[in-house]
Amino acid sequence: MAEAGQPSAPERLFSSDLQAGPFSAGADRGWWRLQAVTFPHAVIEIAAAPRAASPDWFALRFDVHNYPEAPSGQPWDVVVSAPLAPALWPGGNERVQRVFNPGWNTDALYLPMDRVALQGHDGWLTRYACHVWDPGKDITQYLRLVHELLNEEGYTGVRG
Amino acid sequence: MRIYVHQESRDEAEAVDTAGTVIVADALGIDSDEHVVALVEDKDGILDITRTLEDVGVGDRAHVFRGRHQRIDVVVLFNGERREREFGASTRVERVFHWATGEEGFDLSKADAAEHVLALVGTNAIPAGDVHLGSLDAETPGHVEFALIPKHRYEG
Repeated sequence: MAEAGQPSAPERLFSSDLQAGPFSAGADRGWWRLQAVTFPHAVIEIAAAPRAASPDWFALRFDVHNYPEAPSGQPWDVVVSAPLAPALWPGGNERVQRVFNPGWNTDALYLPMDRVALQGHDGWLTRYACHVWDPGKDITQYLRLVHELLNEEGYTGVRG
Repeated sequence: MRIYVHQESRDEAEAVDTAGTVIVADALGIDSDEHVVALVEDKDGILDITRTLEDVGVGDRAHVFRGRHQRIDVVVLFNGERREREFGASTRVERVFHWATGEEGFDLSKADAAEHVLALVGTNAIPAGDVHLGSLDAETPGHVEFALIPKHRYEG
């Protein structure tokens, strides 16, 4: 346990990863940008392909309290600092809608990277092994997957 | 300035804070007795590692690959067919995907291409689009073999 006033081991590691090559490189490529960190939460915006009446960035509020164990990512409205209204979640083809699915849970994404989604989905550990959260890597593994979804043909903009 | 260094067997770049006046070999941690080449991302020409970063045109936020091979022989498998060609070691996987799904590859429609991704044959790992080919040939030096597979739909 961390001493009073001292950052915990998860906080130290998360802060260090935000300074490291993978996060910095993605930010420099314009794929994501850090909005705010108030441990154990971090709001990170991820760039989306241009779509009509849709934002250029989607924010996720990550809960990283047990980092480097899997985080959870909640779509977030940075203007009002609150969960994103379901109508403003990303929409698109079946694959996109499965991941951004407020009907399943408004606190997380339906991804093998997400701690909340992994609960009760033991089969994912083998079926989607290459996309299961790896505690030996950093937060960018989650960001990359979301960035890819928001920049593929199947993404059509906000759900509306 | 900051540069990003890609290496063999690592799928993530290392950030190196340096200066334009630093010798390339020093910035990339290359010893004089190492048989290692350096290439700028998506460029084929080998950098002169005895000159400074600014002399060879490596600027702030540039991505550079260092490794044993300048060229990588790439094979892509799809529907029982194969396509093969050489790329520079600093070529990103994303560019290989565009070649493999394009006219010189399997000539997929835009919609079909969007439903597929490159996976490494053997491990089934799906490297990110910005990983350099030279970072993927640890088991088969100078050679990388992919399969073009349907993207996952997370369900269940």
